[in-house]
Amino acid sequence: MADEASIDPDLVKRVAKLAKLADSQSLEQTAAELTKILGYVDQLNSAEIPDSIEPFFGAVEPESEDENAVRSDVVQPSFDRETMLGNTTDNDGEHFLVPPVF
Amino acid sequence: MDLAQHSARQLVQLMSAGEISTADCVDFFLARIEQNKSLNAFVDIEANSQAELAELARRQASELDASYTAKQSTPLFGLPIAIKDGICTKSTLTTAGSKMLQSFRSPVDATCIHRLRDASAIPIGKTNMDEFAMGSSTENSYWGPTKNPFDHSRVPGGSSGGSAAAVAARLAPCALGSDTGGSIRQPAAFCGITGLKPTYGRVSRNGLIAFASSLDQVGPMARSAEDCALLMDVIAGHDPGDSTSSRVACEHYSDGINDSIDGLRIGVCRSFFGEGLDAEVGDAVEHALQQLKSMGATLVDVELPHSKYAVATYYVVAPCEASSNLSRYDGVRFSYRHTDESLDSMYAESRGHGFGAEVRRRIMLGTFALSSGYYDAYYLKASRMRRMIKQDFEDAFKSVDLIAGPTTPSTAFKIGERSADPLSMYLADVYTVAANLAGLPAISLPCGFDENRLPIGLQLQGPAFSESNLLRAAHQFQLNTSWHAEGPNNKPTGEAK
Repeated sequence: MADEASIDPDLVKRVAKLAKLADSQSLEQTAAELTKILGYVDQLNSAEIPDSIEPFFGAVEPESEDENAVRSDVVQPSFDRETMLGNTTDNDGEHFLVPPVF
Repeated sequence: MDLAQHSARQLVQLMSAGEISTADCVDFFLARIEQNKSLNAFVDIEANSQAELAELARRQASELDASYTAKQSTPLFGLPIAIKDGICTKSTLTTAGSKMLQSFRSPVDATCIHRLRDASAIPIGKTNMDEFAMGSSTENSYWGPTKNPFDHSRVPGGSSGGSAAAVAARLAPCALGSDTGGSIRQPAAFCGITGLKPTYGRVSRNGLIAFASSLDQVGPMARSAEDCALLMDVIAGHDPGDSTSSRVACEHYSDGINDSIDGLRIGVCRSFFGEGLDAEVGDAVEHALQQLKSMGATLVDVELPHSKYAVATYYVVAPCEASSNLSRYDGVRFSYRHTDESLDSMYAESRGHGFGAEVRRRIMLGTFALSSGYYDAYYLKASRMRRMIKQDFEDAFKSVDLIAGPTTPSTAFKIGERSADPLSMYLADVYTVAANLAGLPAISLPCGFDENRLPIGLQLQGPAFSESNLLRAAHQFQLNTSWHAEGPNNKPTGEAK
C-alpha cells in the first residue's frame, strides 16, 4: 500500500481537481485528515489475504439466483421534459443551461 | 385515548375496525411533531416542507376515511410513518440532509414509498439525517443536528438519527431508514428502538438517494420487532426498477415471529467483547444472551477472524462508491449552483459549497483510492478483504443460525464530542459495518440502559434472507423483556419480566 506520508498538499490538490471539488479548507488540513484516516486503513497491509481470494465488489454474485437480472424489453412511461428540467438551476424550457465552454 | 402508546399494529387494527379515524390519527402525530420541534427530528426548512407534507398527509387520511369500506383491509390502513429524507417522496422536498439538494423535488416516489402508499400507510414527515447518509450522529446535516430524546445534549446516532428520534419520542409509530454501514441499527441502539437492515437486495433501492450502492439498504425502524415485521411484509420484494433487487421469494414476516426460539443456535463472537467495548454495554448484552438461552436458544462460540478489518475495509469501499455516485451533483441538474463564471469553476465551486465537510472528505478519500497508482493498493485490496469478511460469516453460519453481540461499543455520545475527529466517529460503526460488506441482514433491539439511562442495543446478524429468523428471535426476546417499551420519559423498570 502507498506510503501514508505521500498524502501531501500537492496530492490533495491533484485529487481535488480530479473530484472537481473546491474546498475552503486548507490543503494542509485536508492532507492531515486524509493521512490519519489512511493511516488507520493501512492496517489492511498487516492482513494476510491468500492469492486465491478474488475481490468481492458486492451486489449480485455470479451463478446466484439473481445473476443477470434483466427485465422484459417493454416500453415504459418516462419523464417529460418539464419534469426533468424542474430541478435545474438554469434552463430555457428545453435544455439545461451551463456557462459557456468556449 | 393516548395514541402515542399504541404500536403500529394496534393503530392499524383500531383504524381498520373504525374505532378511530385515520384523519384523527394523522392529526395526533402531526401535532406531536409540531410540539417536539426542538428535537429537530424532522426536516422543516424555510420552504416549509413539513407543513406541505402534513397537508398531503391530511388529504390522504381524509381520502382513506372516505373510502373506508374499500380500503379498511389494506395491511397498513391509515398508519402514519416517518420517512428518512434520503428516500424520494413525490413532489415534496427530498434533501438528503444536503444544501446540494435544498430545493430538490423528486419526480417520483421511491418504490418502498409507493408500496407503503398502496398498503394505505401515510408518510407524515421527512426525517433529518447525516448529509447523504454519511455519518453516525446526524450532526452532519445541513439542517442542524437532531437531539437524542433520552438526553437532549446527546446525538441520536446516524445517519437515520431523525427516524430513530421520531420513533423513540413517539412522534411517529414507525419509520423508514437506510443502512450503509449501520445507519439503521446504530441510531436504533442509541434511541432505544428496534431497527432492521435487510439482506442486500431484499428491499428495492429504487428512489433511495445513493451513497454506496453495493452497501445501501432501506429498512424498517419501530418500537418493536413485531412492527418491523409488519412493515417488511409491505416493503420487501422484487422490483424491476432496481437491477440488484433480489428475486428470492419473500417470507411472510409477521407470520413467523410467534414461533418459539427453542433450539435456535446463536453464535457469540467473543472478540466483540474485548477492548473498546464499554463495560455497561458488554454487561447488558451478556444479560441478553443469558435471556435468549433461558428461552431455549443454544449459545455457541464462533470466530469472525477478519471482522477486525471491517471498518478499514468499509472506509475504502464506501468512499470509493460515494465519490462515483456523487459525481452527478454538478450544479446543473439538481437544484444548487454556486457560480456561473466558467464551466469548470461552476462544477468545483457548486460541489465545494453544496457539500458539507464530511461529504467532501469522503469524496476526496474515494477519488484518491480509485485514482491511478492507488486503485490496487486500496480499492482492490479492500474488496479482497471484503471477500474474506463475507467468507467468515459463511463459515460461522454453518454451525449457527444467527450471531448475537453489541450493536455499538458505547451508548449515545455528546453532541460535538466526536465531530472534530472523523476517525473516532467512524469507529462508532465497528460492529455494524461487516453486515453491509457481506450483504447480510441484521437487527438491533433494546436490551438495557447504562447508568445515565441511555439505551443499549443488542445486534443479531443472520445469513442472507434470514429476516424471518432475526425478527422471530427479536420478537420472542421482546415478549419476555420490557426494554423496548421504555420511552424517554418513563422510569426504567429494568428487569426481565
